[in-house]
Amino acid sequence: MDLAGLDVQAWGVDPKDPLLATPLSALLLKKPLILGPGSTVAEAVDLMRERKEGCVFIENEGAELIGVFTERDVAVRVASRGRDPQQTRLQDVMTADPVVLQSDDPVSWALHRMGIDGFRHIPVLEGGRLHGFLSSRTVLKLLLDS
Amino acid sequence: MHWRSTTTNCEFAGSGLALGYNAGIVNALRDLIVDNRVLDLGPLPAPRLAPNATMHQALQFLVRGRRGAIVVVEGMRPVGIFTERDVLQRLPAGQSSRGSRDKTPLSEVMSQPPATIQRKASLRDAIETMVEQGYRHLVVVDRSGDLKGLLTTNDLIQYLTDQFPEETVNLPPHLHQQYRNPEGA
Repeated sequence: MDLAGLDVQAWGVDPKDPLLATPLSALLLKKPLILGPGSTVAEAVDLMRERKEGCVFIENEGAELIGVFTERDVAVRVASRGRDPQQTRLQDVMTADPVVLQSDDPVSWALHRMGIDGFRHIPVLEGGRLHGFLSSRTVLKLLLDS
Repeated sequence: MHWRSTTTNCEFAGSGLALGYNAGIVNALRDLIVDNRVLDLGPLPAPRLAPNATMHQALQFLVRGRRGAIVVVEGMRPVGIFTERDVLQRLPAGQSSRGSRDKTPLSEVMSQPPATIQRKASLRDAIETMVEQGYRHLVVVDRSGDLKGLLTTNDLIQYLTDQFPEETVNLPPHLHQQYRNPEGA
């Protein structure tokens, strides 16, 4: 069988499916909240509350992504352990070297990663830099649009 | 390449991350969420406490329960929900987490009434509620309003990925994996 004999329709492609032409980068990626590793948990909490987001991303001085800190981490790593939010630095409680997606990754890969790892927020990189982030609700929302 | 998934009886064409795979998966999932209900997800563990439990107890339960939320109940009746987001909202930035807050009853810090979903509701309805209301948790109830479980966004994502085990199991652990040492495995 050669490529000439391939019927485009046989590939399950729906030309009207908007996701067909859409890489992850063009989806509704959220604008990431960014802090430095020396910032405190208190600052992260204030930022998350103010911007109504469930996570902040940590970048080093070279603007490279080095960690993630989520509202779950606030409960598990700070509040339940009696740590002082004003005295605790993000570098001590963040998830370092986080799992990331690339902006040209397909949606199905995001679903795969979230399913395997149970993450609710995944940073999306473009050219090695933090471009945006995907939340599990955004992924679920995609299934509603038709 | 053209195959039929053994788990969902859906047809797929293409391989790996070709666009055909992508569109095929999404369309199949859209059908799945309309046809299946919350009760089809199986057990949805709901850590629960009484309204007079302390916030300190709630926090320990929240962490150990690993569901991101506690359902506050009176008997089998859900009266509130306490989530990680509530911890974020109530964590005072200016003082340590210990102290008088330890003894605060759950009834004073929980969100009430809790957002609920019927166990017979479709997955699509559940997703729509979560997306539109901005919730990550829905308390699952039956028609008489009794607690049947706790539904989380993770449960939904997990269920959806489980529908396509061949596709997800065969994907590499890191899509853009690069090896520093060319001789490594």
